[in-house]
Amino acid sequence: MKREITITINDEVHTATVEHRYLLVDFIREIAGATGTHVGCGFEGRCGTCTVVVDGYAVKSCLMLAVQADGAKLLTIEGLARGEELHPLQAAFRDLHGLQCGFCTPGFLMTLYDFLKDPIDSEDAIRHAMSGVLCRCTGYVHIVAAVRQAIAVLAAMTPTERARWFPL
Amino acid sequence: MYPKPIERYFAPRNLEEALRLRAEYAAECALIAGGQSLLPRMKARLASHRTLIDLNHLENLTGIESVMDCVRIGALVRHRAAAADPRLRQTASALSDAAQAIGDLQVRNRGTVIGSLCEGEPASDIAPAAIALGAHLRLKHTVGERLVPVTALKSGVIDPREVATHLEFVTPTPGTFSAYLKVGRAAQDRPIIGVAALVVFDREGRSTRAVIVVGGVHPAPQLALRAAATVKDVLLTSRLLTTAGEAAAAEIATQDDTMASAQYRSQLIRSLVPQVLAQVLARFRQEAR
Ligand SMILES: Cc1cc2nc3c(=O)[nH]c(=O)nc-3n(C[C@H](O)[C@H](O)[C@H](O)COP(=O)(O)OP(=O)(O)OC[C@H]3O[C@@H](n4cnc5c(N)ncnc54)[C@H](O)[C@@H]3O)c2cc1C
Ligand code: FES
Ligand code: FES
Repeated sequence: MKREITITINDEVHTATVEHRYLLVDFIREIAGATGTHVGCGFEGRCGTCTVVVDGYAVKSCLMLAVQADGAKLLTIEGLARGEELHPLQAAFRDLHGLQCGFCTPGFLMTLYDFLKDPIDSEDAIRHAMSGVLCRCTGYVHIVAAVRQAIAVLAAMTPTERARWFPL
Repeated sequence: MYPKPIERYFAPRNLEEALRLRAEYAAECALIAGGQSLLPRMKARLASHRTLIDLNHLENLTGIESVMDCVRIGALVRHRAAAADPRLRQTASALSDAAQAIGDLQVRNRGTVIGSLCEGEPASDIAPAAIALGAHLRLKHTVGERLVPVTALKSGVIDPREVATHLEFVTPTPGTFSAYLKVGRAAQDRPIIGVAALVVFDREGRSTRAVIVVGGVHPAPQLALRAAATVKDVLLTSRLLTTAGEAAAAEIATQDDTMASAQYRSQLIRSLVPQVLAQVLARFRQEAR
């Protein structure tokens, strides 16, 4: 019923023995203590606020078992900034009011992190990329504007500078 | 919500081992690929399994390859990879359209094309596209294998000792163009109606073969044979496309359920069939240029 697993979250290695049915999102929140990753739905996996980056891809951590992530490298919202320096996407959300209560924000940032690795700068493409995260208070207009700013800021960087913001 | 306790979890590295475990635990086990259909069901307690066999670590099932005159898609090809594959986009666009139409970015990152066919859910985007391409599922068990046409997939067809390893179809001949379009309740939703169309054009632009498949209807996707006949052996015009839409709406039986009324579904068929055929025609014209 249980298994020992090791998951690297934001460069920190966490080893624990968990039940097979234990969800990845609970490993992140309860074992690694990274509570920036939120939970917004019961079973359906539709709100997207639990999104984290697993081995480079944005996935909903409520739709993955922790045992399935044994050996994986994760990036969560806590790993996005470099010390005091915000990720260009975080800075853009702050500058352009991409959040109010902030409940959905970790899901948007981690989903858009994946999109921004190879972005398409169009409103349509951005809206499609973030259709798996629901925001119930800010609305999407400011978020789209923030993503466009982040695309521009990242595009102006040298490839090495840009790569620094995409460790996974 | 939490799945019921899972007693055993296996993550085999090779297919032989997966097949052996599958045979050993048979009806009490479930295979898990992307888990995007299985885990919500297990969390909602609509399903419970004492044994899970995780396919994600199997080797050699992550590719889209050409083998002889066939295209073979491995069991671990995610929707995202299928949607982005240049060869599929070129020769089997209906399938890349369908993969791109699924859920959202996160679901496409994890969910597999084959998992979508194995879940036995009528509201699937992949099934109509796979049927339009004449695709088969390769099912293996410890001592043999068989090919089952996607049209024959309903719940119970896959034996609890089998693993689907590949989706296969004959590489469409030059002049073949296809597309898939859907309407769901929201951007990330399953199809209320989804329509796949495939047309083979000759040099003059006449259609020599046409297939139209409507998904989102019960109990499985249906072939719109009369609608397809209206666009065969002709030069496609916008009037003909409208006629095809009318024919499909008339011949496909639709159902009322929590997602939509039967009448609304018929209306969607009437409007989607011409749109998807127009897309096929646009792809043909673009290449003809
Ligand atoms: C938020 C959300 C939105 C969604 N939107 C859509 C949508 O728009 N359109 C749509 O069609 N679907 C949608 N889905 C459903 C989902 O995308 C697919 O059902 C999913 O991709 C199936 O693939 P999987 O690999 O995740 O399958 P899993 O969940 O791993 O498995 C599904 C079933 O197939 C079986 N299975 C899997 N692989 C094999 C195999 N190789 N051999 C034999 N049996 C196998 C499993 O045992 C299980 O019973 C959505 C799901 C979510 C959570
Ligand atoms: S908690 Fe809502 S999608 Fe995961
Ligand atoms: S900022 Fe409150 S839900 Fe999005």
